[in-house]
Amino acid sequence: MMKNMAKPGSGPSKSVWDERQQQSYHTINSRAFNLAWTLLLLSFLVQVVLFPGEPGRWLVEMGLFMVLSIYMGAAYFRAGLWTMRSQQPSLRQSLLASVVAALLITAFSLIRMAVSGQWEGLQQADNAWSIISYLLLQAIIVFAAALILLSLISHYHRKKQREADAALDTDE
Amino acid sequence: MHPVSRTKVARVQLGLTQQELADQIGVTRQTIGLIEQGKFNPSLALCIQIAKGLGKTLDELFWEEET
Repeated sequence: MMKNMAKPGSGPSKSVWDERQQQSYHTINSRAFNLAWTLLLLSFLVQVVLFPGEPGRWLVEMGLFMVLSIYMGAAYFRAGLWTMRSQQPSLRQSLLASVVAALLITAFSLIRMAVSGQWEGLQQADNAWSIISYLLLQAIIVFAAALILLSLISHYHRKKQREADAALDTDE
Repeated sequence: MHPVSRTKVARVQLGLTQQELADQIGVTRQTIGLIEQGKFNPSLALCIQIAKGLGKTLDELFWEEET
């Protein structure tokens, strides 16, 4: 009887691993990917800070990071995954995430300016005002862009969930 | 009795080694060992294979009675 049964882990992929080994393999791959993604981000940020006027040094890292991030975002969206703490998006979450994005970008800009010596002329009122204006404008643009993007994604996420729910109701 | 222990007891009662049970259901010996120790949660498909391999029902091997 057992001979006729499909063995766990066997199938079209012809994998010789059982399910525990496959699970371990996926866990290791996932951790390695997260590590690579984080290191890529750090590498990109450090190079932007150190070589701000030389995009050739960090454009490739930035491109790779964007490709990975877009792939992850699209894959999460297609799988119907939102955040680990909530199943559905909310305006509060989007606002909070947008504020965090704006603060992070501002903090990064402050570090970048400090390293490149742009703060040296800060004693002069004109310079101080232009730097503050730049940071404020940048924060507002990032906040608005993040909020619009998150609102759009939230809208389509809710729509997709409703369609999935409707399909399940039809099956019942 | 804890389900992991029940799996081990059922296997020992049949006089099977971990390797023999593993070969019978198509997994590695380590996987059987980890299931018996409760360190790996098998899928339903694998639970069924183990239950069939040991001549038991899923309830007998894996159902936890509430105390």
